[in-house]
Amino acid sequence: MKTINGIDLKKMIISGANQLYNYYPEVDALNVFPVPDGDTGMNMNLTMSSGAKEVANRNDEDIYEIARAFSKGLLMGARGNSGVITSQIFRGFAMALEGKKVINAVEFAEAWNMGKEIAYKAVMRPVEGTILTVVREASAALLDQVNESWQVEGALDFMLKEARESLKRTPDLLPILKEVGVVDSGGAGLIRIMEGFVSALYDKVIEKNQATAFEEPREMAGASMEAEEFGYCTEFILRIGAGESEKKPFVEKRFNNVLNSHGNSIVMVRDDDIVKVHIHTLLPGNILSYAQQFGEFVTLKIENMSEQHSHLSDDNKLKDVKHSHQSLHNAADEEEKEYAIVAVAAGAGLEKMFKELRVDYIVSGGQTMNPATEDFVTAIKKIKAKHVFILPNNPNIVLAANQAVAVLGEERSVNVIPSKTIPQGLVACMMFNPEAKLEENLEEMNGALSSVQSGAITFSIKDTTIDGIAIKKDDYMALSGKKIVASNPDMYHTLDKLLTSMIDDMTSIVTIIYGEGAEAKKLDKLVKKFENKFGDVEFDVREGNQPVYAFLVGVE
Amino acid sequence: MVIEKKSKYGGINISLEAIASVAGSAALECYGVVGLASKNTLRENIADLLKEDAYHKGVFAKKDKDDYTIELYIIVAYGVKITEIVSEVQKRVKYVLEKTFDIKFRAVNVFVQGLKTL
Repeated sequence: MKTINGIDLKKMIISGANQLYNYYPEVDALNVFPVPDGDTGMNMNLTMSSGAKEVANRNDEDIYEIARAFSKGLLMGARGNSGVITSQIFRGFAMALEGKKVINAVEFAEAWNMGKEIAYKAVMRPVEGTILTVVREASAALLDQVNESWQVEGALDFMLKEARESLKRTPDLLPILKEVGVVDSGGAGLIRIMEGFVSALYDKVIEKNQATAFEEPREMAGASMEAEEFGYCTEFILRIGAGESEKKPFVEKRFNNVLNSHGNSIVMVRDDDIVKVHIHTLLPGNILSYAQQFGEFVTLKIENMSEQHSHLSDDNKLKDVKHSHQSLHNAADEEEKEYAIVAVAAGAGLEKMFKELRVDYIVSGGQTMNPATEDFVTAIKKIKAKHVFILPNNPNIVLAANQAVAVLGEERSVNVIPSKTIPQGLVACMMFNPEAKLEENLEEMNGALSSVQSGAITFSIKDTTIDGIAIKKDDYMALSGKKIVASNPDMYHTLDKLLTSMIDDMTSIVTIIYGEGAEAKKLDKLVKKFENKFGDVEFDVREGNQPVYAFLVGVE
Repeated sequence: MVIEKKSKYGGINISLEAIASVAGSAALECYGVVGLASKNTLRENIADLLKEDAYHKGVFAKKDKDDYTIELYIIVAYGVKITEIVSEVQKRVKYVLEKTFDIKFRAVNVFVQGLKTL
């Protein structure tokens, strides 16, 4: 393409926002600067979707009109540092296009350069090795090379290549990145956006990938359970505007009002063209036909709650209630306990293990999705107990947990047991004694943390060399504590090496928790081998279903 | 005013100037912050940018009971989303101070004293 117009830019923006959406958990995982809170990807994603929403309904041929609308959407929806910087880059980009209907490759390069200028203006002391560096180096390289004979897609290809090179260099500029062994998260997000842009110019507008962590609604926060009539617990995900025939326009507020008049315990979350609804209603059919006017269902689930309730009264087995609302409701009615434990974990198996060890509430999270202080505060407020213990189970989450203590400091007795790994958290739970005094429990649980050595097997997201061990992208690597001890394309082989390095004469128990992607059979074989080799050591194998880590290992 | 700490080897006093310069530097590295401003802009009439040696005029550490709060007077760039800038400043300053001095700060209060068109 020699030139692009507003329609092309609109496609690029939508494609860029979707590409970022598809990869935002990956971007989150890189976030260590300025504050290691793992939210860069989410923030940039929210910023971009706000910008994309602004242009989604426009059909201007003028490129300036689209760029201006996009810039406005980004500005209003900017979230977090990287989000704000992104909004400034495209603000400059739009300013450079003023009065233009179409642009060629040279003008395109100048617009990016203007974006860089504006983005740099708003900071006194720019820190290099961030998104700013990436946009600066990439736009400068493009402006240097581009001439009138270039195609726009060629220019963007060139710029993307330069941006990737620049991103690779960020650890040399910002020491903290090098220390942790990551590249800059904001820069990585920007590259995702640019990838979307390029793809759109080649007529492949990137679609949203539904498999990427669709945000679960924070259910139950304050849903009133007072006058609960038993009916059907109805949940569905609706894609607005999908399907053959003409659908009615979706008005969020009106839809919510209709839901309110048909049931209670309503949770509704909207993400662009996807709406997730949870409602308790006596007549689910009415709700479904109403909702179908606006789009088609992605998934549907209806359960009869009266049925569950009668079971309940018959057997009185409160613990077996699958319906979380019910169990939560009952939990709220319970008397205030002496102690309660809140633990952070991801994966059904891990959650079950913690629940078995008397953990009252699981905050979902882990390496790639750190829960916020807010999540802890909400959890603790729901729990009726005199003393609450928090097990963060991850070094990055300890700070958020401490902040929750600071927030609740005066009203509640909350203690953080600074567990840095899942095995540490499990051991701390085992030492918990509901009969003991607070001080004794604190001492025992804190003491337990150092009694276990933690190891893990995870995969590498890039080629790197750490602690003298060369690691390839997608290879498995073995972590003993913070140190990398081995790397290999085969996860079982890597586990073999890890166990060999961790087990010594003092070892008595080895706990292996296998996660998503690991096969129990193959693991069994490996464990048998070790059992033969170390007769005195007891091996405990559990299913954790955790993401990211193929295996978690605790050695006591 | 100083912040007092005790370690097992003895006492530590950290002056407000030290806190102010760390907090000031941390704030200035934040995106969208143009500079620190004096608290008394009314008396001094214009929201002037403070020079490095005068950061303590724009940063205050306060102690009530057992916890500390920080007050930070800043000037931000025109045309950026101010709420986000401010919350990033709070996050960054709290994180840096807590990491540097190992003292808990209950709150970082940010006052936007002016905007600057760039």
